[in-house]
Amino acid sequence: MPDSVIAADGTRLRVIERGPAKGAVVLAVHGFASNSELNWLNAGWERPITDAGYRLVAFDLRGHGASDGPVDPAAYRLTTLADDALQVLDAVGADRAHWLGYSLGSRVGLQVARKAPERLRSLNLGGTSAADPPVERLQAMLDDLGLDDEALRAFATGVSADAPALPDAPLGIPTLLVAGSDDAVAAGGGRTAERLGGRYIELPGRTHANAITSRAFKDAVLENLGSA
Amino acid sequence: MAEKSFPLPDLGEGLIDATILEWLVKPGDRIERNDPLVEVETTKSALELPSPMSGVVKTLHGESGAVIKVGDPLVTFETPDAEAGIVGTVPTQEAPKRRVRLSVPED
Repeated sequence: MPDSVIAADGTRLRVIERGPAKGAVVLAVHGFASNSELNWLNAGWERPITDAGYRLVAFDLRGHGASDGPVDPAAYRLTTLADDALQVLDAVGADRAHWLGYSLGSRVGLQVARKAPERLRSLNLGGTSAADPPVERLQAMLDDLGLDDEALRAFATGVSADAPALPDAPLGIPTLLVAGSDDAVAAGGGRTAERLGGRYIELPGRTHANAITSRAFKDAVLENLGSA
Repeated sequence: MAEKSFPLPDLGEGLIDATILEWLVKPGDRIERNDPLVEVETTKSALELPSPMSGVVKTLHGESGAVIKVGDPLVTFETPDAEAGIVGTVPTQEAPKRRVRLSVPED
């Protein structure tokens, strides 16, 4: 089992795996300025997913966590991030996987659904809606968090270069969108879910930052995984 | 019955407190060590804290929305007397006729 994967351009991506070796893979992809430990492990996702028999595979997006961080914005196009994810799936031997994303990780999942839907068993997308956050908002997030990191700044620029686009519906796989009722970034998630032929669940009183630990979010995802 | 209390643990990154988002247990629940205990939010992120022990939950120190400082009490469990922790009931005694040395309970 690899603990890192080398992407096509040589960028090294850190991979964390948990749970039964033969379990169906749930690929967990974190949000901007976060990482696999913060977004998934510390938020309590390992146990519900692995107890249900799935293999949790999380990787740090390029520019984040323990993965390499190129400083050229061109290294961070959405198609590249999607290719990175498929590379991780290849490395762990998963023809198809459940996608679990939060925020930007959900955006990458939608890109994979657009370009390589045959690799997906289900889509579980937290904290997203139809539109990518513009580069200014991502830069502002870095300022708010006090993170002055060249790779993350390049990431914000690079990932915002492509116009957001949804995959063609119907996707034919169980699709779930989840967001906090007070999540400004994910406003409009209900409409997006409808366009994709999926379900939308709103978490009362939760924001973009604190939706990630919600028990209701976890329960909804477990149910969606089971319906695939 | 004795009790054992646990503080909000060090959350790293120089964080001094956290806001309670949602308790995942209630008083009277019997839970195992590492069972999900509570969701908290810091200025950096949201975390799910695992239970520090197996036992029966007695007191939750703060409602949703309360801010708790690192090191302040977070949760109290009931414990059988044989495993009494530091926070316990002090046995009452009549005034001794002569000086008696009381031994401190083993932790």
